[in-house]
Amino acid sequence: MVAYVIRRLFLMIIVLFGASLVAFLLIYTSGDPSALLLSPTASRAEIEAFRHHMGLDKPMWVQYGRFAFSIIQGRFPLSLTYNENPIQLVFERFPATVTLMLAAVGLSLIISFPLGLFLALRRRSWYSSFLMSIAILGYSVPIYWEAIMLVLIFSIIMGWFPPSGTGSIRHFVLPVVALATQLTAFLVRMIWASAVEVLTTDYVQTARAKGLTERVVLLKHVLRNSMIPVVTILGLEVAGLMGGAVMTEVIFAWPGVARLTVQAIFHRDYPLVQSCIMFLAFVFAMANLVVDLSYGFLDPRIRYN
Amino acid sequence: MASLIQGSGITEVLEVKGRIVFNDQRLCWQRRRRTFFRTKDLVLGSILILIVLLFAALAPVIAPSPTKQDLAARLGPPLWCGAQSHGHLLGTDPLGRDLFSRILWGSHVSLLVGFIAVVIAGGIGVPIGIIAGLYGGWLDTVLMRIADIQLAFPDILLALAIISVTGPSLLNIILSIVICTWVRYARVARGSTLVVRETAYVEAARALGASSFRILARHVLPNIATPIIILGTLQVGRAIITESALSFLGLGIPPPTPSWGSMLAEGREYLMIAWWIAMFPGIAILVAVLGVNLIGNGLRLVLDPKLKV
Repeated sequence: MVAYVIRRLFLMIIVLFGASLVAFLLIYTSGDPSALLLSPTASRAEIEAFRHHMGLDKPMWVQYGRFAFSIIQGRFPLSLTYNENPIQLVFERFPATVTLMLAAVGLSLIISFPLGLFLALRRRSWYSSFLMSIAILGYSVPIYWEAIMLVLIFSIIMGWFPPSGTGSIRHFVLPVVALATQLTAFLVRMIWASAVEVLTTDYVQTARAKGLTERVVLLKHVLRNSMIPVVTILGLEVAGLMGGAVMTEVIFAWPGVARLTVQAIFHRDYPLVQSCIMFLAFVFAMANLVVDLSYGFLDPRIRYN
Repeated sequence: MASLIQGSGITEVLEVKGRIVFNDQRLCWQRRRRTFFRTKDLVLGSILILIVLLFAALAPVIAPSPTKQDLAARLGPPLWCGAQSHGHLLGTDPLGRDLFSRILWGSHVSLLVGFIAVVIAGGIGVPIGIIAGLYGGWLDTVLMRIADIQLAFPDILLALAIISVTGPSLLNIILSIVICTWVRYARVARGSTLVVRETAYVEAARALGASSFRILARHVLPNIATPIIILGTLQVGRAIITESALSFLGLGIPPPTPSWGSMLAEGREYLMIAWWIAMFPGIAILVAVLGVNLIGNGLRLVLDPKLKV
């Protein structure tokens, strides 16, 4: 187990190295930032002095080396729009994104597990296949359109929830529903497929033959064994969920990391873009590590080596 | 494959769960044909996509000028909403342009980006995945690490960052989607190739002295086609959504070319007084993506032998 975690942490370093390369190359290929950052009336000498100060006159590999070294030291260049440490900005906004994502995942799980299991038990009924088709509709809906329609119906027409911003539990409802819809639809299908497979296994039939109650069979045998593929999908969906969070945060003016990243990209705030990219890669790598380690708890047959 | 009984399509006699089963090739095809029409997802998805393609093809005939402005008819509601509609089926936008015409023309961009990005990403990812799966070694290691790195970013953020560097244009949007998605094909192709590589028929072909190219073309490619076709179909939907999301955020096709995403973004600003501007482009995206997803799901049911229809 310890060796496995060490190996995974080593792989994580490789991923973070790659992410730093991507972050650096994106900015490097976008051209000389001095034209953007300095006043249009800046003299040639001023431009040269700025380029020298920022290290932009050095070869590419030197620039990358300096960038990577500063990351290792935890020193990111100041954000150009906020004039603050970009990592601090990311950390300030991270709780908002995490809360939004966790609430969406929680809502998805609360709906999808009972529904998926119920539909798997009634898999030959007409409503099971009908709801499975509805689930395809659920994950085909573009999140930004759904968010706008939610605002139209529940904010503008009904007036139940505020259309954007934060501050109360009512601000929370529409962004969470918008973010949770696709994941819920996807998870219902996954849990259904997984439970249908488990329900036909010998050990479930044996459990029933032993005279165990249906509740025990479902909770101890079907549910637990259906969870492994679902946990895998959840791990892989972190990036997808973050993609959904981008649109949700933009539409609902939610003060999270995803919106910060989009704003940084639009303002060409390079240090902030780089920090956000590095941070998101780190979160994703950590989420995948947690998912991989959780297998062992869900299925004792899985051994780490 | 030769039939066991002359004149019949029977090629194999198997024992399945204690019963004798004849594997009849002719019956197999009949069954597949029947399965296609019994797979509701596939039929419904095909109908939706055919409707979208038909409207896209008919756009120059039934909606010749999507950019024609009529300021007197600006923000006109749909036809069924009363006399203020100015005779426009789905209403008009803030510049008095006909929404229906713009949605029809907007389909060109979405479909073009969706299909071309998938073909190019598949064209790059699949060969790399097959080679990595077949030969392993450093290429395999490098590929898997690139996949790990790339999958650590949400598609939309990476695409946004690329477009912000390269500038918004049709070509750059396709390019950004290709960069974001090629690795998925490579991973699927690699995984499937690893399975096929170990099968008896590939080993037999190798023992008979078949060249690498022959093994690849005759044995590997046909046997890994199913997951790739399914992935490709589903990815068309994702590409359409990514394109419209980029347009929604203002980094899509520059105006005045109509695009579903930019129409939606425009509609968001007029949501209080003109809901139809945001509503109908979204429905168009939903229909196209739903159609593609239904086809992908249906194909999975038909082509994957482990799943029963």
